[in-house]
Amino acid sequence: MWDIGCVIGSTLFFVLSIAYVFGCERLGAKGAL
Amino acid sequence: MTANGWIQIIIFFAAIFACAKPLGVYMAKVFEREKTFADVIFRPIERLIYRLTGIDESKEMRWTEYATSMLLFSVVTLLVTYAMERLQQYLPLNPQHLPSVAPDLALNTAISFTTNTNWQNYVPETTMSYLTQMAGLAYHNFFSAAVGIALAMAFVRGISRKESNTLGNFWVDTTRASLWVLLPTAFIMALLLVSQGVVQNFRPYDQAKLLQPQVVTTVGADGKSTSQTVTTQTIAQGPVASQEVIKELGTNGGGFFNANSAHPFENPTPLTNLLEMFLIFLIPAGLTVTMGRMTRSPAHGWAVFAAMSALFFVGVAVSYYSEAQANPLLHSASMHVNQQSTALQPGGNMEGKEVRNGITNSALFATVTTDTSTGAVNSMHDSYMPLGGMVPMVNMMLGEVVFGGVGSGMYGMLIFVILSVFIAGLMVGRTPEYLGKKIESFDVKMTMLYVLIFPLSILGFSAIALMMPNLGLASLGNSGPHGFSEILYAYTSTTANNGSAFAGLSANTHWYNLSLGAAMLVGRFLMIVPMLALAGSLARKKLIPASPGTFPVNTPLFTVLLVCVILIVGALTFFPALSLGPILEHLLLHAGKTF
Repeated sequence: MWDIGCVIGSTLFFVLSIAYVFGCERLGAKGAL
Repeated sequence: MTANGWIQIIIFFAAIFACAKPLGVYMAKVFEREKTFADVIFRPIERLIYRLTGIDESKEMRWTEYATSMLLFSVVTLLVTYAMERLQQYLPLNPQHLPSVAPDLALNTAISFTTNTNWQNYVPETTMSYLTQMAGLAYHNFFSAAVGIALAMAFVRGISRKESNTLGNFWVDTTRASLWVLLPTAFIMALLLVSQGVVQNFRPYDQAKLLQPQVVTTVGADGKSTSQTVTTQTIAQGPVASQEVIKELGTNGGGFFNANSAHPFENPTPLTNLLEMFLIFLIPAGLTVTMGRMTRSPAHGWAVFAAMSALFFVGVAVSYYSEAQANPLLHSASMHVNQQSTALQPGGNMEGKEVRNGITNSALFATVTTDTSTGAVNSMHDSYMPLGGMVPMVNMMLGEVVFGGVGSGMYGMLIFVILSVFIAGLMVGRTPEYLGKKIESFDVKMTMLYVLIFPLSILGFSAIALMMPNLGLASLGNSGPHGFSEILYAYTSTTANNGSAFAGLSANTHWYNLSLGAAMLVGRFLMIVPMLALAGSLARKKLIPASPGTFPVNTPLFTVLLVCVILIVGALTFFPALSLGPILEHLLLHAGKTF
């Protein structure tokens, strides 16, 4: 159970980080941030 | 403090100063693909790597592609390391038959080495097999450092390019950083360490018979004490030199042994001690010259080098002075402990310090390791005098921009450069410019995102830990302001990706393994993304000619402004927390109270 949680948790962090990349790009392009 | 001590500090710095330019010029040629003396060896290997992996070295990446590639590379290598730790007992090169690592500790360690932090919640020689140390941890020592250098190069290209949508190729930059810079230097220096007595073998641990058997008394969970006579000592072995060298060169810091660079098998002689500190500063110092050359403004590179040097000397002076002072409680009328420096003793505060290293080389090592993101130690920072222990903490709180981690120190410092230019622009009422680029709204917002995530993680996690008696406070080894400092130090060290510790905190618990792991991820990746976004924005800009309103970034005035901005941002953010920790402890020590 711990193993599944650790793998999913760390993968989720990186998925959110990639979303953060495109969020910055999108907001920068719009000049909205 | 002694003249001898200061001469040693100056010799160390002179060696760094002498090597910064040749190494910096070499790295600029490597990353701009100019001809170097090493082409004959490394170029065929590099081409072979690209052919085998299918990398097109001519393909350039936008900042989003660069960031995504870095994130994907990091998550895959993190999960591989996690799996290696969890399966350790079934894998080869485990002569001590060490069991697999517990899941929360394995996750903390995998994050720690992926993020170049090397925070260690375990005793390496009794937890990690040789395979895990080499293929799991030392592997990250190379590649987390290479990723840092690649990111710094991407940022420098953002500054130097005009009207470009791309920042280079992540895979090519990481390959070049590993193959042309880290591997050859590590290979040569590892041989030098072996020549000095650093061990390098795959033997099982030795058993030595004690000349004088020791009686050890332990108290069990039931409160009963038991005594046993110990007649043998286990002497750990392993492939130490190969990991030791990249531990310093890559500003990683994770020791092969628990005692880190205080262990005689990691750091056996005065020469290895000097060499290890030299390796820590070598690449970050060289990168200032690389940056100056790639932006076609060498004087700007030296102005940044000067700012870093000024902050380094302030830190080492405070640390050295604090540790060379006598502890007032031991000096009191009732104790009469002689703490004077004489031919027979170093004087000052020697608690937690290796006698071989003494005051000077302990204070210097502590400053060097926390100016950068290294975290290796040759003395125990928890035992420093309150103000001496505050120096490593402040170095990390300033964002580790005093030479800094390999690559991360460079781009961290350039973020402060942009902040300084912005403030200078506000002062003279002109649009801020940096090397011919206008600094606009989006750039400042990305800069502030980078600057604010850092204290948010440190202070936020520290506050949560301090509010939870059963989780955060239960692991403390000390009460009062020193206990507060232990928690603050832990989250500062992990967010800053340093990895050194105030060892009084027993952090191998579910709470600390997970929360410190989260702090490391936030401190690495959530700061890299706005940095790369800023680099992408700068690369797209047009160059504008210098005007009378342009603030020059290659003068002593700029260096002074940069130092002031770094100190003011750090002081405004962290002074309240420091007041509750080391500053209060210092005042209470002189009132007769310790913790």
